[in-house]
Amino acid sequence: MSAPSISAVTLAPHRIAAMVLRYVYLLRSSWTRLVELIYWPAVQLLVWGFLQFYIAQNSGFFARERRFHRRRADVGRAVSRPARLLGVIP
Amino acid sequence: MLNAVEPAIAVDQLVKVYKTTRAVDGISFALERGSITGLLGGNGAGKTTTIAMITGLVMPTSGTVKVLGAAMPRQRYQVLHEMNFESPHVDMPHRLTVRQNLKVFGRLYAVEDLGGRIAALARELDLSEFLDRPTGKLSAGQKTRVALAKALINSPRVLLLDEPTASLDPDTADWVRGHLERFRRERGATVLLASHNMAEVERLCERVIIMKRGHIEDDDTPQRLLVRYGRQTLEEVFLDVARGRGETREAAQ
Repeated sequence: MSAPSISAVTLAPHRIAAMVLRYVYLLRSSWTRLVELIYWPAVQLLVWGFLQFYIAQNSGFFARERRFHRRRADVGRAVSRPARLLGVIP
Repeated sequence: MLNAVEPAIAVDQLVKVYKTTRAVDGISFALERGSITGLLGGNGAGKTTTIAMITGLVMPTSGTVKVLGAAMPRQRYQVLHEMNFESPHVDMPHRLTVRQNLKVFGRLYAVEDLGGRIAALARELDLSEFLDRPTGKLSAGQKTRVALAKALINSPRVLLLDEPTASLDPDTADWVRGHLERFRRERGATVLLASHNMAEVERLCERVIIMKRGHIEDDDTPQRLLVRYGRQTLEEVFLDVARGRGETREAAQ
């Protein structure tokens, strides 16, 4: 059995209108659905917004590079400190 | 274009396999236009799967289904507006009132003068008193009547019914059967009725298809089935087929 071809599918505005009407009736009949319609997208916005903000601050390419160089400089300083104390290097 | 001389429903070598289970195993039948046929069978016989494939909701593994000449599910958009389906096991949105549900389905089928059609159905099926009540708060019998109203909203030419009088008291069930008979006569609709109520099938159907484990075990008029099996009621015939006594009895005769 072949799968239904795309050309067989027709766009029917009355069917779309019926489904919209169904959801309008559902939302009108339940204020919890209406609240959820606003609440969950708001939660998503906040969670992903803050997460992206955090990632951008801490894990960006340049942030990683800067941290790497800072760490290498710290290691270099730690290694060279005894030599500097001993006067081997200026 | 739809062919006017083809049968209303033509099923040919239809097979549906779910993983390792053959729910429907190569069945074939054709229903004449304007006829009313009973589809009988125990639980798991394949009745609901067959109806689902006729409506185009389930894709057959192999075989073909044609409704009013249109191949299902490929050409379903040519005939879906001419068909409808009713089952008490398929719920409508509970929060919507009866009127809202009927409006949504009426719009899906692009019914003209929808308000008038809903009012007429409410009169015919005695829905007026709970038309503005949420569907979830209705009794089982009221829900069945609402489901029937939904099935008749587009005055279908092909009507598929799964247990149309389930949960109804005998008086209301009898009234619904009368209504179905009247609708079929006036509209000239083709009706395929899956039921466990043998009295209902005997009263309504001019042809009975008995299924068992995905096969068609028998296919005849109720009267001829009673004669062939030597039984008084269709229920006894059904039990003979279900328990595998049909062939033995026929052979003995």
